[in-house]
Amino acid sequence: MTSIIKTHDLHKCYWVGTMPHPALHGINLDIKQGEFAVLAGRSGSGKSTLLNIIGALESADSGSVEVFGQNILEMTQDQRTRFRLHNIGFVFQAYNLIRVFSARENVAYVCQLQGKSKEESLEIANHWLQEVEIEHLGYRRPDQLSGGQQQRVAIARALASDPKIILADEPTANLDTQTGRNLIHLMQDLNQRLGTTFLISSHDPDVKEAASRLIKLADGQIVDEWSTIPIPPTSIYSACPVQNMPLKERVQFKIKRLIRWHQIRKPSKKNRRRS
Amino acid sequence: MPASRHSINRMTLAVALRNLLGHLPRTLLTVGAIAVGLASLIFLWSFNEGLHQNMLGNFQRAIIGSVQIHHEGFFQQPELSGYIRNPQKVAEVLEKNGLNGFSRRLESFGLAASDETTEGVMLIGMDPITEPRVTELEKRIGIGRFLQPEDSYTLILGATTANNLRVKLGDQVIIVGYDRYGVMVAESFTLIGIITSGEMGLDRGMALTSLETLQEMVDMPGQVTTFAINLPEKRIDETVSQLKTQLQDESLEIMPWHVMFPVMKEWVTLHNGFLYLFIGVVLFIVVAGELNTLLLSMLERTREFGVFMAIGTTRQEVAALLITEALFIGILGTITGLILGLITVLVTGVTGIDLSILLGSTSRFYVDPLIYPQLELDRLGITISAILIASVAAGLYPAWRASLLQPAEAIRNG
Repeated sequence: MTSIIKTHDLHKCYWVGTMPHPALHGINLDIKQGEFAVLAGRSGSGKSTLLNIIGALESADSGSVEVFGQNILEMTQDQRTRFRLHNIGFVFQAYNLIRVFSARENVAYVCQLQGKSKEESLEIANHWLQEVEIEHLGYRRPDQLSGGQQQRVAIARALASDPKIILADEPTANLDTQTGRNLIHLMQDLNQRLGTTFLISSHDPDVKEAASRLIKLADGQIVDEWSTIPIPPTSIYSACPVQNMPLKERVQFKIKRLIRWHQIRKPSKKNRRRS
Repeated sequence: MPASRHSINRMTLAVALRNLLGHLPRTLLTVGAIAVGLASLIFLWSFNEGLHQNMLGNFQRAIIGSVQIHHEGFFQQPELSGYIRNPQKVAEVLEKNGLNGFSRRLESFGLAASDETTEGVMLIGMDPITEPRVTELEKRIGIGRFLQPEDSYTLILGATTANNLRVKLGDQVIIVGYDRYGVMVAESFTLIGIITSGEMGLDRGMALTSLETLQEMVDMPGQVTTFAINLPEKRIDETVSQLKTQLQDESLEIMPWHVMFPVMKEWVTLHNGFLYLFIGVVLFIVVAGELNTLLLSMLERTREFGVFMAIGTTRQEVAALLITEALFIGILGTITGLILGLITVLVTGVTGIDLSILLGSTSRFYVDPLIYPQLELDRLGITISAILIASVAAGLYPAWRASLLQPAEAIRNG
């Protein structure tokens, strides 16, 4: 599978006054085309920052981010804007739809930004609203839609520009459990049918469960990684492939992976109560 | 920008319009502020114009006219020896130029004497038929009447002079003067009218009689010292220039009112200066009000602008959005202000504005108690342009701020 996102030794530090707050510390990541990858980790672990940097919304202090082979950190603001428009779709935690537009116009707007005519853009918008099963609500304004419906519109908007990657920052955080699950199924379905790569940051156990690849971050570093597909070469385990490990380490690794799988499949009591 | 990005420009218009409609109270407040500002400016310009026209008109129609023609040096040294040598030619040239609103005068200084006292006066002999084409002296006769063609040795005095001389209508007043050779002459006149204008220049030191009488008294039959001409303000300079060319061989001085009495012109200029200052203040208030609204709107929508940028809107387009909103507000405010201002000027232009309630008597400044605002189209154009430019200028700073937003930060902190 082709790598579409590669980060190398990515560092990012925020400053509050004179106090440094490191957000990312040497992130090496390789996302393949068609993956449904989830960035997991506690609040402040650097998930959103990483997503923003990959999405060319924010700069890094050092390192490199290659998306489709282009180092986005070397781009100017306007180049990044154009790059986002044609390559990346965004889904935000707070939906972030444009409130003065109807659902259909929200989706069509991106197509118009790409230079398509109004009629063509609305046609595309109808198609994607149909894909996310809310075509009948296209005329409604965001404040006339439920959270789940708004997030579907956001997904349709993200897909309307025909991006290769969708970056979703906590897409289910503001939704109830069932709506969240429905949304995850929708994203999974789109991922499988269209081959669109999804990179999602989330706390949600359901999202983690749906992941084809789970990347755990803590204190701005990748501390753990799991995948149903071959592990990317930059991951911490790929430095020493499983089949090349000595028997003892191989067993330990498999037990660890089993435990992690178990943790992902079965949410903790605390999480179960919450859901 | 892609070639087919016109549709996004239309989208920018749509977003701007919907944003304004989405915050209707705030939009209306800003539009209202601009409208009131513009309406005030239109009214003030018009009132100012009406006031100046009234004042200058009254000043000219009081006695001096718009333009006067004398023999060279007469204005500085008004002696009868400085009479116009060829009054016939002057009259012909004036008539040839279509200037029928003129009057001949003979002017000199003299002494008015009653039984009890004397008073220095400016002695003016004027044609009772043609004088009303130039001045409105007839209207300013408070007691008695104006001169008639058949009058002989009748006199009109200013109220203050008559009061000082302690004379009343029908009394005899002796006028002592000098003829063109410097010989003293004296004649008895019957007082037929008293000017009660309230204007110091007219009420004090003015003695009017018929041209024929004065010519006879000073032994200057058919001679005049002055041609007083009435003209619309806008034609004065052009006419003076024409007359100077056509009468260049006659040793004449052709003087518009503002050359004879520059202080009045300077007063108008000073008054306009205060008005420009006031306009500046109003424009500042308009800009500050709109800037406040747009800046608030921009801060409120920081997240939205972040999202716009995240999904592919360029910084220039985000800036254009805010400038478009500013322009919309400006256009709406201008249209509303224009309507308000025009209605106010049209209504007050018919009814007039009674200044006597506020100021008491204003006749000392040649101003009627009722002022009728007059709309000047060129000033209207300047005011509208200034308001529109100010409105767009008010949008520039928020637009610039919005264009500097970093998408991630705007979404996170917005």
